Amino acid sequence: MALIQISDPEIKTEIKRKFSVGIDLGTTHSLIAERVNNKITIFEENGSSLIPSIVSEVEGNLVIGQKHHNNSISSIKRLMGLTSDETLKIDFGKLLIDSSLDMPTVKLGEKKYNAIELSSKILSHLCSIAHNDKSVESAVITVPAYFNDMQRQATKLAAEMADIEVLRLISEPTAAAIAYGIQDNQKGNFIIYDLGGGTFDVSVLTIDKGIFKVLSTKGDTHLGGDDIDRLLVEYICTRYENLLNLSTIDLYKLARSLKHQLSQKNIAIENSHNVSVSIDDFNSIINPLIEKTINIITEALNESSLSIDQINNIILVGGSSRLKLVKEKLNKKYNINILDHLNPDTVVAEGAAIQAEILSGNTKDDLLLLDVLPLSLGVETYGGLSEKVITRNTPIPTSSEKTFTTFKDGQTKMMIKIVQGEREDISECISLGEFVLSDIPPLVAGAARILVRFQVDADGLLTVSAKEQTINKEASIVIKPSHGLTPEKIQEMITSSNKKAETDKDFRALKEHIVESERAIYAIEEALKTDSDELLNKTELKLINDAVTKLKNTIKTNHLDAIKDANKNLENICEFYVERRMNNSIKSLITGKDINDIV
Amino acid sequence: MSPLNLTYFEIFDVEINISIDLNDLDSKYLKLQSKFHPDKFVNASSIEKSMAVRISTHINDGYKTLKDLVSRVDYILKINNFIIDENKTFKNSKFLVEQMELTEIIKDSEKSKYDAIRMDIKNKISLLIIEMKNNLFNKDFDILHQNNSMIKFYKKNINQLSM
Repeated sequence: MALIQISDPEIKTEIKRKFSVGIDLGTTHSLIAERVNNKITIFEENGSSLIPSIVSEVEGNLVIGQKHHNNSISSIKRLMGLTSDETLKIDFGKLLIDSSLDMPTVKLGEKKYNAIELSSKILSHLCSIAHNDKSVESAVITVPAYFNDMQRQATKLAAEMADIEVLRLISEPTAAAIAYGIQDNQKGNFIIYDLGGGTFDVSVLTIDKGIFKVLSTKGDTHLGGDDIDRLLVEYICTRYENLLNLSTIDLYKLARSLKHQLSQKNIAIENSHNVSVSIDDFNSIINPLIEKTINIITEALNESSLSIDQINNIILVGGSSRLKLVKEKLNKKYNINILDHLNPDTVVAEGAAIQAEILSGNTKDDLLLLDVLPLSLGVETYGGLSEKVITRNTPIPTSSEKTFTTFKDGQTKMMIKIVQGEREDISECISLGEFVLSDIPPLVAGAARILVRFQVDADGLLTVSAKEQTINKEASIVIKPSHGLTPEKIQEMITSSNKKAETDKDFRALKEHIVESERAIYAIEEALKTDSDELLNKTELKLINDAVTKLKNTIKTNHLDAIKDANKNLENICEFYVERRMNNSIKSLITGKDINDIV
Repeated sequence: MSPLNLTYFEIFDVEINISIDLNDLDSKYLKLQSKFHPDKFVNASSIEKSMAVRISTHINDGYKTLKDLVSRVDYILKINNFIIDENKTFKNSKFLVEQMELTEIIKDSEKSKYDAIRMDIKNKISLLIIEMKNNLFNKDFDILHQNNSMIKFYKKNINQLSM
């Protein structure tokens, strides 16, 4: 692809097909799927596409997807991106958590693992299931829409540790909408109701001509089928004393079986334990939870700027949306057509597979996904209050700038705390970390002007940069994330997870950088052919040509660092040129002329 | 730190004005994002990728700014190099008295009256918009800024009514 996509579409077909998958990394189950020529394959293990998100220790090895009595961990997703402090506020039921370090761990066999490590094991296992003659190269991975920055970062890191290139993190309800929009040709305004094993999400979105525009999203990352199981276990334990000598695992098994029966009939009976539960009793137990989901829908709708009579359909997603009470309540409250004919267990993975095929360039199909930031970002101000820098439901990517100043004469350092959440009181928000601005020029109090830029990318991930404006100098930023994951620790986790030998990795890095450099050279040369006369003077053209030649020569040396430098150099030199082309391209796009008529 | 030397009005090819055609803005927004969203650059070189993030961000930020009346007027002031002095308080005492009265009325009114009050405020906003158009035409940015502050108050009143 040439700079700003003016290249032949035919080049696209020359690119070798990549093995790109969609992964639904779920609380109770995970799925992996691929779409080729309009056909979706959901990979199976032991005859099932729902791979239990369970990690067990068997004779010193970690095994995924099977339960091995006391040495198993499930629902690890609930721990993703949480600090130890935060875990103390949440009831995790069966999970035994060690909160002594910044980042919580769970014990498995003799070792302790954090949630990212265990999730990366699950991801590796999923890829091994999908593995045919070649291994998975890249993936679209779904996350709950209401996942905060730390939870998203954690998910991406788990994928990197599993050696998967993340094409994009997308929200689970959005993935489901893609499946309905592309496979099922739906269009209009939708409420996506996604009640999974551990999380609940609502998104309001519009689908029109391949454009998926999320208007608002709301949710609860600790509300799902797990909670329903727990309530049911509590209920049967108080009613049937004979159950008290059952193990926790067996109690939950029993509860799930009862729940399953109750999604089809009005009474559930387990003869082996002499237990029966009626639908009325069950509904009254779970009513508060379902009521909570209905309130969350109202909030999401309020922020979408749509009214309920503008909504065409409610789409049900997630295994727990099969509960009879869910449909009953939705029907009673909204009287809107409900869509659930695509399997609520697999629809998220299917949507992710579609997006993976499109993003990797494996298909000529096209779609545009415009998603939003689920939770506001803010900085701490005096008095422990949060001042919002980007409000929730802003379309991503997005950015915001804020100027800070010193409050002491000669101050050269400053600390800023970043939080995510809606409440004014920062103790009610999630702390994303603190960053220290250093190298501020020593001036009188209030004279320094430090412009801090918050950038949220298309994955919903935040990066922060800063510049001192009075002397126009980049101030350096050191971010200390609250969960204790410093960049060094992250690197260490990635390195230790990677079984491949160091030399092997160097070789791979070299190859990747050569491909990247060749791509850049190709893009720039193609661009120069079309508009160098018009956009560049002789000096500028020579500057660019020299940088290209230098990179070409450097590639031949097979020297990794030199290639990186030469490529970076080319990028820096071409930046103004790319900007000019972008400007041109925007103008021609908006004034309605085809770009090819102009260049 | 704008990534492009284009204003939001230029990017969307919209004439600088107090009121704009929002349907036109919507369709141009989708057209631009269809071309520049980072998803369209997944297989591109890293220079194009980072440029796409910057442009797509600029388009989103521009869309958000132009869509809303208050932020649109603030932006018009900004591109006309009008510097908002945050230390200067809002001085129109007649308006402030009106505001206090309005807040009282909303507090004391029954819900059934809300629609009528809302209509009344919307009429005031419409009149202000006409005034703002004149002030922009005459480049009276100081007064335009004051007008915009009044709109902010009225929008707060309307929010109060919808709670």
